[in-house]
Amino acid sequence: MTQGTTIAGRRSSQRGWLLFLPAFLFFCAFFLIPLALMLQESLKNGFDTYAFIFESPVYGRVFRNTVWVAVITTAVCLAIAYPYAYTVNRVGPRMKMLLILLVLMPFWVSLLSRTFAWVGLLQDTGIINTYLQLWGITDGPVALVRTPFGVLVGMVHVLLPYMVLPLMNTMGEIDHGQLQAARGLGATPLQRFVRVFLPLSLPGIVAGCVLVFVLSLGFYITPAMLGAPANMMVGELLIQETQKVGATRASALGILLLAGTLISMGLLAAVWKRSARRTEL
Amino acid sequence: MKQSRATKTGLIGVAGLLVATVAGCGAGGGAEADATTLTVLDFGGPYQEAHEKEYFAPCAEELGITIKTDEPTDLSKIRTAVDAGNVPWDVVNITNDFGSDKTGTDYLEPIDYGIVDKTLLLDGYADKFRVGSDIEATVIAYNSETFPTAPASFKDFFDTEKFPGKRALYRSVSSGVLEAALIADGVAPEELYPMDLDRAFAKLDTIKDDIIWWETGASSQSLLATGEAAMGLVWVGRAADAARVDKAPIAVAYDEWVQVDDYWAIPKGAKNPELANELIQCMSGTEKQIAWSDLMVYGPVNKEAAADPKVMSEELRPTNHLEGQIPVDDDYWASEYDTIAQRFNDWIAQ
Repeated sequence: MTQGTTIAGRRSSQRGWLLFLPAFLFFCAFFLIPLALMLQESLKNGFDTYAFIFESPVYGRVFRNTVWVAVITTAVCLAIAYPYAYTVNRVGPRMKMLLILLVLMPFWVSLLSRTFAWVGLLQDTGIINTYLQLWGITDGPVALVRTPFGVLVGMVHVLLPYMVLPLMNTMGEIDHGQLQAARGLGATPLQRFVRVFLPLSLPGIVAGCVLVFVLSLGFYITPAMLGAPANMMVGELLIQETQKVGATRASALGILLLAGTLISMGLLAAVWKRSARRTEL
Repeated sequence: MKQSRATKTGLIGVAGLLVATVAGCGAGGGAEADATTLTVLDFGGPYQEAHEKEYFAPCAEELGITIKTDEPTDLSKIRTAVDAGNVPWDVVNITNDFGSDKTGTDYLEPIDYGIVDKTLLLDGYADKFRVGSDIEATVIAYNSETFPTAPASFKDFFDTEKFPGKRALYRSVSSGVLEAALIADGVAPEELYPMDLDRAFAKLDTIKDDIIWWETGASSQSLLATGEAAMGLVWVGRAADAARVDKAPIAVAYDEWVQVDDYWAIPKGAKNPELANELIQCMSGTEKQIAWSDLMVYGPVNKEAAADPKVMSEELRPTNHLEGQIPVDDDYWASEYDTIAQRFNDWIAQ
């Protein structure tokens, strides 16, 4: 019986491979081949280009700043999205629809329009500063745009749905029987949350954080429009290099960004696997 | 096992086919050139629309050809296309930091002055690899309500005590930012090059906190029009639009301004250089340049057009203010660009 299912399983997985083919070919044509070309371009002058990047203090700072912004964005998104997703799973179906709709709505407006809207709100002559001065709360304009704060606001706004959706899914699947069992065993509400609900929602947290973090690393328009050059992220640096300098160093920077992302994802996966094994035990 | 090897082989075959297709597309794209179609790469926007109306359409008719357009000009696109030996354009519109006499060799075909008539053009606009398309200007534009006493010079532009307020500057190293800083610091225009970079960046440091960097003409215009910046170094066309289209109190100080021009050039490996030269000659004609100038604030490069009373009646036209023009050394920029750009990018990110 056991053997039978394995053979059937293998057969269906072979047929499943065909289903995977279109995606694989697409991936080859539009990702792997260009990526190989990019790698080749980055090595046009041997490793000199990479040496130059590693020796430059500015590139280092831009990379550190990128990671830092991505980390903060992820943390803020998680802090906002967690209670939101929790609420979505506790309200009635109608309210739930409304809350999901609110999360999805930003997807329907283009990134560019949203970023422009933030500029209109946050700039010195923008709506917020105009009213702050009109109501006598401040004397002069408060620096909101062209600051790290501006970048953070814009990025959290764009990326929040990517955190809310996986959290909502995971929380929706949590078996409430387990929470009741914990209550039955005398756990306080806090204990129930920390020791039962939180660990069970962990896959959602990890999925959301990975999504938001990785997407943050590649942001270009938002930091370019809402930040100052001193808050430059790798995406902006890449555009600057391609347009003003040339493709070689830009390719190397792209390869480094990708490698860095893959390595951090690999580390995360390793940690995740280990902790999963520990919970199994 | 056998089957898996077969599939593997098949896979490699498919991948190979894909590579071939991708490569084939690249090679095929430009090969469709025929003798009567020219493709022009231009900057887009109202600027290109004016070219289409006054140059491309009438010249297509005169030369009996079809003219297609592509946009926007991007130097990296031109470099990549020429390096790849597959150039989809016959004529490109470029800015003055590209294709000077010393540095045009790698990417541009020399202009055939047997076809293009040099004598039509203003001095300095018939280069080895490019022919001027129009004379633009990077000027000081300021809010006349914020500053009842008009700033008149780069010195005033850098004086944030006398003229407090944010400054809009183009985030491009070769845009005149460094030249303006040096002039403001007392360097004579004829002694600008080679540039004293330490001095230029030290001067820029004095206003760094007040700078708002712009990257597109449209955003420079809106920074001025909304009052987000009190003063700016912008292209004169955008200053004019902030005043005339957006009805903002924006005025231009024309006593000192930095040269910026656009040029027509023929990318190396273009399929039909002779016809491209003929098109450039056609676009340099007096009547056409007068008609084009009527749509734009920028100045024509055709001598007679620049002296035409109707063209001169536009007070903001750069060709009316050539005595205040601070010439930019394109050869210096083309050869030093990478080093200075690196320093500029480092400085700006601090």
